[in-house]
Amino acid sequence: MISIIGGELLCALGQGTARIEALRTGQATVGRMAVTLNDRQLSFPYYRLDDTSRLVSTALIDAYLDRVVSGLFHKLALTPSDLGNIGVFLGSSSIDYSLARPIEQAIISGTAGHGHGRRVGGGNYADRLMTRLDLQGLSLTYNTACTSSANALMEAAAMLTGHLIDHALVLGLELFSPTTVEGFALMQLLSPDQLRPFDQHRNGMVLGEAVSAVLLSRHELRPSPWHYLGGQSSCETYSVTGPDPSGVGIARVITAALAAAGLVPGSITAIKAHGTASDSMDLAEMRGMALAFATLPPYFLLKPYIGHTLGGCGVAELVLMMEGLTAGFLPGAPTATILDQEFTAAPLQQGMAVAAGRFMLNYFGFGGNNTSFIIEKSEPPA
Amino acid sequence: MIAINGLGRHNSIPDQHQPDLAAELRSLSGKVYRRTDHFIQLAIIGAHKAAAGHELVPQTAIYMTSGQGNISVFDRICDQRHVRKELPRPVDFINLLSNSAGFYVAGHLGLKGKNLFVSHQHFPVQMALLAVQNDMQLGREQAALIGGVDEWIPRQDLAHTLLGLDQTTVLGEGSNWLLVGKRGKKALAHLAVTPRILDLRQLQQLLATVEPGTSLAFGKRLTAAEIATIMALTKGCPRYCYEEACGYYETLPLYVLTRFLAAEKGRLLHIDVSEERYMLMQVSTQD
Repeated sequence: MISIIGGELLCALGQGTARIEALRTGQATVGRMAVTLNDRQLSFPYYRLDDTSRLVSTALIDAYLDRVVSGLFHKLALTPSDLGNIGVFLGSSSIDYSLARPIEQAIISGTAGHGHGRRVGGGNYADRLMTRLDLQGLSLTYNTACTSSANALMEAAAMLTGHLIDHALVLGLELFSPTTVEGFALMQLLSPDQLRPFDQHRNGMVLGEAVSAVLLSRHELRPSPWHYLGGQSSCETYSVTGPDPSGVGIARVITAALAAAGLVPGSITAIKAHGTASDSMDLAEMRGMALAFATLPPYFLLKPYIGHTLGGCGVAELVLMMEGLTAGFLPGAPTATILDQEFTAAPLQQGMAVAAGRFMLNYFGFGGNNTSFIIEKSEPPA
Repeated sequence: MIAINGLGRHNSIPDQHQPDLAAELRSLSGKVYRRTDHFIQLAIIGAHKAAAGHELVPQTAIYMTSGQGNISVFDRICDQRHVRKELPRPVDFINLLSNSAGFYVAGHLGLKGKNLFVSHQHFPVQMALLAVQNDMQLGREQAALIGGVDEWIPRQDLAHTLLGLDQTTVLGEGSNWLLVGKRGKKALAHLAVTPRILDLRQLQQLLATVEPGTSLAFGKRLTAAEIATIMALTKGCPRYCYEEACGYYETLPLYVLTRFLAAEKGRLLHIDVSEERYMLMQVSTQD
């Protein structure tokens, strides 16, 4: 049995009790981010982590990763030296900044840039984190678009099951990137005003930033009610930008995730929907859920609280869900006020009291990536 | 230990320009892939060769790895943003995700299984193979394609900088793939990856157990002195030389395995180094 010992999250929803209160009351703080497209200055809603300047540097990213990991270890009263054979699994849809910066420098200056004589490339953040924390073990970095950190978590669980490691630190990372905002804006996938997943008037995504971490273990490092039950990752090739609108690819990954966890559809307490508020993605997700579940369990949304944190959303939304459930509820999101006529059920609009259960978390992305996994929270002791 | 059932190898040392792969891809596959770039075409070609002659089950997983991924497209987007002051083309934005290459490989081969793009700072090939090996042993996957894809870019000074190599090192590009499955009698060979990163002492201990007659291949980052030291520890094992046939790229270890298995019999132990840490993998046509 793989336990989730705990999690930590840096996001636009603040910290600690303020974050729980925001989840409970359905309130989020959304800022705006300006980009220039074809000489036009456009502004989009954006969930910023903080007001730090986003001239991203490797040091800044390292600092966020250190902050989230030290916060997690502090919560759990652990030190890196308590974790002998550990793996670090990082998921992000962003190109590694250690690679991006020299390329940008080379373009801007017309020189070869500065590599400091050391190889750079994918895997750099995770490797540097291991070095800074003096962790002994292995690391892997996943880039599978919006399923990146969800896949990182499932692969970490596999390596724990295979006894390659004893513990796994799984990280989700997504910070503001002008290239990303411009790219989505060009594709007209960003909402100009508000994130309204599953609403009849949904008009696109609202992006956000998050840095998150969970610690998984195959040992009882600390008593934990959280367990990873299983999941599935699959690919569909209908379109490079999204799933088959019929929902068959989504239904397939959900069904396979249930089988991997040894569960039947009726055993799921609630579903964390991906809910990007993109017209076709929400439609495919609704149809996929309807195909996989004869009776659809309650489903809820977390992007209205922190935005779409792209490759980081796998771990970020898991931590946010765990925090809500630890406080005894699943959050509602009062955004889908007019349900799309084709949809069979609305997402939770108000919080729902839940003490324990089995929760399916779904993530879908560019590149035909579909991922679904199931987490259990056991009953608190009487 | 996992079975290797198919090999796909594409390796070249370009000169001045990236080779035009569109024609080769069309000739191999009989299809035209619109909206693909050089990195994606490289990936499809290598995977196609590994899968050729095999009936893949749709659930065959894809694990792709790379040292730096689709650098050309990022280079192009940066040029558009910072120099030309233009917006990126949507197709470039989409292809910026290195995982887009996996999408096109899956589409080309009709696959619907897991499709991962994984990286590691020091040992991208070995770590990806370790993940595959674990998934196969756990029964999570029955068959998988694993590919290492790295592209040559015309801006060679930048390429050397990114790789942390001196400007005289000859660089190449490649797309090298293995089709793997569970251990079987019809396999071309079997593969095992040492499931951890080793320090020098651990490497020396393992080398003492290498079976006589095993060929030794070395990653291109090992120095001549390091290779001589290791050879001395292995009781006369022969060296497998491949170095002159290729320029440097990060996923070369997969080229070495596919090259050996295409022409040789026996056992090959591949030893790689990065920052005084080592990883080993062994293929054998005899087990």
